[in-house]
Amino acid sequence: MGKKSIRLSRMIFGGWIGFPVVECRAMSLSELILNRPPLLDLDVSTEAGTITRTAGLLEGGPEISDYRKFLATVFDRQRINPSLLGNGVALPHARTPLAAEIVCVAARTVRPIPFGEEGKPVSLIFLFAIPPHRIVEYLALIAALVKQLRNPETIDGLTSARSADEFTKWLK
Amino acid sequence: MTPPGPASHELSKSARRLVRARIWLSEHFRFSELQSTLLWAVVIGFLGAWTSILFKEVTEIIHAAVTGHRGGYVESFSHLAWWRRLLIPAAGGLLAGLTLYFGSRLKTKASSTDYMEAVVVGSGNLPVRISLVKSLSALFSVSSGAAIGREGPLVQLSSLVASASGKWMGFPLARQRQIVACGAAAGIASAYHAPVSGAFFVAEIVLGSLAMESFGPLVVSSVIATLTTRAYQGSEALYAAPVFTLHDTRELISYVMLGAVCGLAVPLFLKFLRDCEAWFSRLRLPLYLRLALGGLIVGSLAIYRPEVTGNGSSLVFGILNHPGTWQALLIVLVCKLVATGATFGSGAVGGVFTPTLFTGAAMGYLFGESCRAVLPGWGLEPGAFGLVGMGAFLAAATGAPVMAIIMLFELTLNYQILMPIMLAGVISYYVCRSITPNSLYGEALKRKGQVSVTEYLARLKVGDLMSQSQEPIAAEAGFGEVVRTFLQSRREFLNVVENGRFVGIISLHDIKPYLDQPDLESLLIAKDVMREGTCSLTFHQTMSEALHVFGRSESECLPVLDKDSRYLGSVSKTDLLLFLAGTSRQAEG
Repeated sequence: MGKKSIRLSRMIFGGWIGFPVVECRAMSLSELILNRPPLLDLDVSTEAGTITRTAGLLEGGPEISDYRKFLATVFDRQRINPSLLGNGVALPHARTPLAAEIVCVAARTVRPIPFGEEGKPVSLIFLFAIPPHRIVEYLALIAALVKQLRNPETIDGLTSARSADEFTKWLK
Repeated sequence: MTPPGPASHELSKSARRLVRARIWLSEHFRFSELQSTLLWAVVIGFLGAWTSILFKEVTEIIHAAVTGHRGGYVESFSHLAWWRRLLIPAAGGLLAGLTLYFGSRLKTKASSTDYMEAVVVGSGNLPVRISLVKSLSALFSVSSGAAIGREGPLVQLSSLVASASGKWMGFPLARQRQIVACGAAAGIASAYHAPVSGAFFVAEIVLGSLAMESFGPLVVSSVIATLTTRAYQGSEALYAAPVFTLHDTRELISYVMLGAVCGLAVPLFLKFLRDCEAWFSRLRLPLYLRLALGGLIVGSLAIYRPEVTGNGSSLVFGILNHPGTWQALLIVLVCKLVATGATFGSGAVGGVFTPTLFTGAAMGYLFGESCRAVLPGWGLEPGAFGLVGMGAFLAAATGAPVMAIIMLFELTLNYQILMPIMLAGVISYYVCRSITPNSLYGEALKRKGQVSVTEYLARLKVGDLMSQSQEPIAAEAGFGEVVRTFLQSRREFLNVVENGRFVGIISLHDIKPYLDQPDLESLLIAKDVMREGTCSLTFHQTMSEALHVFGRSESECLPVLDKDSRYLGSVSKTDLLLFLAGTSRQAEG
């Protein structure tokens, strides 16, 4: 049975056998990130600065109704538990009604920035805005992203990408 | 609730495999609370049966030790000298009374000691010590030949075991009451080898509902109890009788008349029992002397007629198989009624179910004899009238005609007689109800001051059904902690709180595809994966309002909040349905 037919059968029978049907309908990561070209070679020195500059990609966009409040929500969430994946990757996020759609913006810093109380070095940031009712899609997306970022080749590719296009291609 | 921390992010591979196995099981074998109640019904049925067997055995051992004879009460009392016939019931009454007198010091204000009260208007909790005292008292009364049924203490003990099990498991109110009802059904089923009537007795008389939510567990308990009892005591019908046949349709006319006669007699029977109680109360004797006096009356009658001793089961068997003369039966009936009145009125612990069966059987037989005398050409069999009279009298006295019809079939395993019993039972019930709304067990509840069942039920709110066994999870708890909590419980949803306030639920269905991704444990917290804006209940909502909320929700269990959205506990749909199923008739009534 080919991958296509497996995907099709999961889509048709997903509800019965326990797989989330929504996983097949969710937007791909590159689709999300292509909307906003990633910030490459971001020159910052603090965690707050990194998050603020990355989130700044969403400022004035249609997806977030109140950018300032959104940013505060991201910081609130970071304070509870900084979302650090390891390998220099952080995934700050905020579930908030201020977000109309699931949206993800990415950035790469020129040098590792200490994140969290332990000051773990981070150079790749993927920041999510999630409307409260889109949990299932969000989980599918973040799980897919994490799966890709577990691959050292992908991390190397993202770290060494010379353009936004090249960066995005590593996430396809 | 465990605060988030590095440790909470770690979830071992084996734990993750367990969670996946649990999800697979829960999806393929949906194991609801109702089904778990059925499993508990099996346990209660088994325990209830062994409690009954134990009580019967101990009773018979004491009886054999006191009388020096093994076998039925009538038989052993027949072999005794007159003074022993007089003194044994009196001494038994004294002992039973002293047990109650000293045991009453253990009485607490906690809850009712009667299983019916506990199920109908109580919390389903029976106090262990005082219930055991009552059972011990019943043991003395029954084994010394008191004219009272032992099914009362059997059901009481079986219900007590169920109550203690439910309490140990920390069941919420509705399920606790259901479990005690299962105990009662098991007790009746094992006492009479009657699984169907055991379930119907509790459904019709105690719960007042045949809704499957409550009836299903009763059936399971009854069947298990009967099977257990039969494995130990054999599977013969309790009152095996010759097969009676309906020769001619016109015979039904006489059965209809018998039904009417029983319907007229039952109010007198109930009044007689009430008057006996009142008479003993007026004596103003201490409890132990009252019971001793009751025993003395039984003993005095036993000198003349030893048949008055015991619950009357051997007499019922005799009427159906070797009835003797109608004159002798009439005398025994009168003596037995006086003995039952004396025992019951003195306050002895026990039941009047079997004495009621005997009264009905004797009345039916005597009525059949008179019909045969008046209509000699009709080929009427007085024994068949005995059976029909038993059913009709029971239907009116208990106010549960369906149970009475089924019980008669189970007690005798005689199918041919079913149609006349159905007819006579229903007529008897209607005639009796047109005279008095009271019944044998309704009377008992009323006398105990529980008249306003309807008012009580109307007062009950969601908060009364609420359980605090389901700990909520903190919004800041890590994903690993969420998974572990699902693993440790049988729940499909977790309630999430933030600073004590309910903020949402986490659905197992939402997170299950990601359990094999340990990386997510360091990224996500409960708040990230919870659903917001879900249904909840408030502490003071009524049961019907709660049912509407459940109708809008896919969850089997909803959180209960106060006016400030603070999480107080949860109520499951099963508990709500059990409660509503078990209160429908009383609420109407």
